[in-house]
Amino acid sequence: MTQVRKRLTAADVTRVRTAVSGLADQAFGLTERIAAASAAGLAGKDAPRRADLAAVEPVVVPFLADAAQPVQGAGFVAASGLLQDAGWWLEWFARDADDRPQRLVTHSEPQAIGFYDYEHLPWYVVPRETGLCHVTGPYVDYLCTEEYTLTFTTPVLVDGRFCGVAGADIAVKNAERVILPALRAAGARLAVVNSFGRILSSNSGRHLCGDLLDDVDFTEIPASHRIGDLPLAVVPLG
Amino acid sequence: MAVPFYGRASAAVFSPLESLSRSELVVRRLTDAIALGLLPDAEQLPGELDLAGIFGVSTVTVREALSVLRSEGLIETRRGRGGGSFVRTPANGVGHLAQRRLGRFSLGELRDLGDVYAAIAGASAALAARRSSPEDADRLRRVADVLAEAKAPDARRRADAQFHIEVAAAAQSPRLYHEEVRLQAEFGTLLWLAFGDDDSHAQMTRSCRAVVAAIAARDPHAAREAAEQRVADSTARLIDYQLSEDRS
Repeated sequence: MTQVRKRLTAADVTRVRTAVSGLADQAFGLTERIAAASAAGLAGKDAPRRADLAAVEPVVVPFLADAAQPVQGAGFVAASGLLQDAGWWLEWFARDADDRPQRLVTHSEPQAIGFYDYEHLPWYVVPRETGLCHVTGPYVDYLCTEEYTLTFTTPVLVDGRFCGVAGADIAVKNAERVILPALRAAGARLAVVNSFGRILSSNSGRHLCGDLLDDVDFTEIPASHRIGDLPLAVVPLG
Repeated sequence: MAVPFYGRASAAVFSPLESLSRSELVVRRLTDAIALGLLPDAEQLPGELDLAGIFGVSTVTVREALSVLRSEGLIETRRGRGGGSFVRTPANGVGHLAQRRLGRFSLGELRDLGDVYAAIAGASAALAARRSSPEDADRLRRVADVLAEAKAPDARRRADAQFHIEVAAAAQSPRLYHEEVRLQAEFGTLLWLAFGDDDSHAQMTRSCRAVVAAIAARDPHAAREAAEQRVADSTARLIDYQLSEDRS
């Protein structure tokens, strides 16, 4: 018996887009609030210090404490040289193994082992260069979560000057849990990919999370298949 | 004595537990780091609570380990404000520390560790070649540049470690990444004993470039081969090093 391949319908695409957009809205809802809290603390200061970022913690920690939402870590990442008392700084909080929010401890001395140099990483570079929100991943975040991760970042500007990024991490396995029902409901094979054609999630065992789809030209994907302005889109699988 | 037979599938379940105690493992990890210059002289260690959290052991275990390190003169603990535990590089250098650890391995065991490391490094590189975007390849190229430009032995070791980590991450596999980290802790620390001089540095820089070129070309076979060769070269160098040290 030959199987008839069903066509991808508009409803299939919409369901998946809605699920992915829902994740992005949650993450960016948080990063916008972190950005506002950071900018308010930094505004009007010629030589800001770490203490001026104190308003980030009360925004992030209660959010992370809600186990029902998928963000597992979030905070503000300072541009190097911004703060008087730390060359590099992450005002960052993440859930620990017991799901309790904890402050992230990293070295800010470039010579120290475990130093966290973020100024060449895409989740930092892209918002700085474009001034726009960005989604990085899926990628192995070996600097922080040590998990397969999506990182949502928003640039933080004070008086037009770039001061750093506000970010939120969602583990790919948690994103998948949210997207999978929509993928399962689809009548045909499809995948959510990033702008490199890297698969975030799909409903095909042959095209798995992390694989690259070689034939994806992201600029050619119609707006109806894109996730807003984000570097994510829904594509049919051949 | 009866030897129970559980069949092959259960071998992993009933294999012996790690023979060292938890505190001995913490001692070994910190001694390795001091021996390799990853924890330089006068560096302050994290507090007992933080160390317990980092290693996933109790504070009692950490205290035991610190007391061993103290009795060996590898750390100094100061009380009061500005106090804590600080690294003390021994006056006669760190070579003998590393030598002591290396001396526990037979040549065959070193070869065996090298085989496993080559398997992990090769698989990571092959997957990285299949799954790397041009952006990933650029990042690997930058890490290779850092290695090429590093001058001091410990900077070269850090760059070498970073390169392996980046390849495992480019494979898009958290498990391969974790396996890489585990092997670096167990075996990389030994390999670095024989790595850091100009000769080994030139060789490692060349092989690094070969791995990057194969990944950028999306050629999994060449990437696997180059990564396996890279580990085989390091292992051979370590074995030569141990043979030459034994003679003296």
